[in-house]
Amino acid sequence: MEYKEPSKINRFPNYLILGCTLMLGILISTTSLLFYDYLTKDTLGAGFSTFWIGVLLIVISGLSLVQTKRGKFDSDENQRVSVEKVKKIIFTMIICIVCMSLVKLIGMAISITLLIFLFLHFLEGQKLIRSILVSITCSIVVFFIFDFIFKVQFPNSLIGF
Amino acid sequence: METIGYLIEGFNTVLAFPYIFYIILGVTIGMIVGALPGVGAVSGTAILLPLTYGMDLTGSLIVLCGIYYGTMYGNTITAVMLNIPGTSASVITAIDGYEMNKQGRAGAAIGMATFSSFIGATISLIFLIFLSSIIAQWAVGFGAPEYFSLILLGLLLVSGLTGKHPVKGFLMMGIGLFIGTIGVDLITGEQRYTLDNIYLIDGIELVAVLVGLFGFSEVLNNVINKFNIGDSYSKQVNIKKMFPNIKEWKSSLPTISRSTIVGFLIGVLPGAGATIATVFSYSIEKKVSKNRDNFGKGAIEGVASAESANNSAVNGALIPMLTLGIPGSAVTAVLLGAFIMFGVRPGPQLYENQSDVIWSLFASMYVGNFVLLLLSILTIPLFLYLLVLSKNILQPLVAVLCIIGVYALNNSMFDVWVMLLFGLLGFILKRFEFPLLPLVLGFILMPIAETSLRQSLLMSGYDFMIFIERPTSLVLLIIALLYILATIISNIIKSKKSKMNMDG
Repeated sequence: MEYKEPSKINRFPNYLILGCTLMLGILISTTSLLFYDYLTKDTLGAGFSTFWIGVLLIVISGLSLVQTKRGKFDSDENQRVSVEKVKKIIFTMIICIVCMSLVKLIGMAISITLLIFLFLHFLEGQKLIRSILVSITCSIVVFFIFDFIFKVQFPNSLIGF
Repeated sequence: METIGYLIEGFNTVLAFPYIFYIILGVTIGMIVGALPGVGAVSGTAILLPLTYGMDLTGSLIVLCGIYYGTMYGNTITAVMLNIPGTSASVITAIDGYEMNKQGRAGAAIGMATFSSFIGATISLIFLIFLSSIIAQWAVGFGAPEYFSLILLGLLLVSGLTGKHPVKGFLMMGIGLFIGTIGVDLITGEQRYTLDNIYLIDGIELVAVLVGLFGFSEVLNNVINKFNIGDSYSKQVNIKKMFPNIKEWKSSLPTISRSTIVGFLIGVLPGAGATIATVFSYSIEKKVSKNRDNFGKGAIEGVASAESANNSAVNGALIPMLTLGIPGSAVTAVLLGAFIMFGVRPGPQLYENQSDVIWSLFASMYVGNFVLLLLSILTIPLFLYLLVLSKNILQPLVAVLCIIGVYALNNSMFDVWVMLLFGLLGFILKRFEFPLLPLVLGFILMPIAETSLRQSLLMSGYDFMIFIERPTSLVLLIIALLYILATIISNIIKSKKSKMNMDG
């Protein structure tokens, strides 16, 4: 039988997330003391809770970093990240960000149609004609529901919808 | 008797238009959502939460609860027919259900799942009605110190019990608490962490956070985890084959009764939820059932146990949310979001001030479960067809619903950006096993916790002893302390054991 080497556990994402929460904790606790009152004459100030939340984040992040180093979270299946999957996620986010950035320029209706088309054609691998037809049909249905039934005011484009 | 009177009033309300339409709408959407792989009860309710904004609170809750328990029914279809459990709560159903499908007994599996879900949900509703009234009456005397202690206990329990590692849960709770502080401080009027952005003065929009964390993150998840539906769906389900025979009923009824009780009790516990309920009741049945040797090989009792337990747990999970304002699961956190969207805070006062809403909701659940039973019997082949048809357009459509739903709430693109940001954050956190529920719970409960703490200290003149001097508060704090100690001790024992295993 062929021996299969177990895939290597990548602890970097855990370190990254915990590093960020640790930094956030330090930021929150220091800014709480610097910018907000810890105590007022009558009661606790705006900085009281945030300071202790910051401390909590520092302590737990520190503890979690130690546990990550000891391999306590290594059993988590999802720690294996493939470049292909990361690319797909980045592409999905770019599609959404670009389409939403265009809302002011081309209106919500066209932006949504564009988003569905890009999703179908590039991420789902649908044929061009099918993607165009499905994206237009879906947008019309969605807009009928929201615009006519729920009376939501969407940003319009220069051409009026 | 008073309870029955209230319930009859509730029935009068929900059997009239538009509520009866909302019930049918909610459960139908729930079944569709549940039948679609990758869209569970949490994302389904989160995505559709903004759509209920145009309704009144009763209507919104009826639709969202309909989606909630409708999803549980819908999940069964994919679990049995495709071996794709829509949510983790259906994993157990898939074990025996899919085996039965392979043996050509898919109709019986879905039929038993439908009937046991109906029985489990209907019986547990009786428990829900009586137990929630009792808890609400007990909690109505709570003052600020009791509330603070209760929130502290709820946060600790949910954070510690959700996910594999309690420490990750506590970390997420801390982040949620921080997000909850953003905006104007209600007592001092100071702006906290708003970065001079006018959109942040009122704090971050709860619905945008919920839709992002539970809805959009699922879109990202499904982009990389494609479901292979193919042609594996079976056409052998028809109405005749869905009715279990007398022998199957005889062997399953004791299982359904036991699992309904177990499911409900576990559902009530914060952080436990339907998944643990199904696993626990299934393992009990595996030990006590007469047909225990067939469990895992296509035992109809296995399907009956899992389905009655998970539907019963759904009703159990509503108790801490409705009576104390503390959601014990992600879906009930979304339901709490609906209350907050309408400016109502659940808790004991809800039973006094808005009792019509509560009783209408309970009555709607009875009607909804009956509607679901009919829908399940009549339309399952149609749902399966829909499932295969929609597999390609589902993800972009869900993404669009997330965007437009959140935009529609305040006509604000800022909320859409917040939703996208939390969607990405939710995806990353979930991917690396950081539980999302403690984050949401911290975010929702932070303002009440902070206000309760300040009010308590105002009452006592800055004396923290107030939390110990009041008996209820003291009991709650002792439970919280014991829980922390138990978590630490069990962690030490676990690491000692693993060290011994490595050495040995």
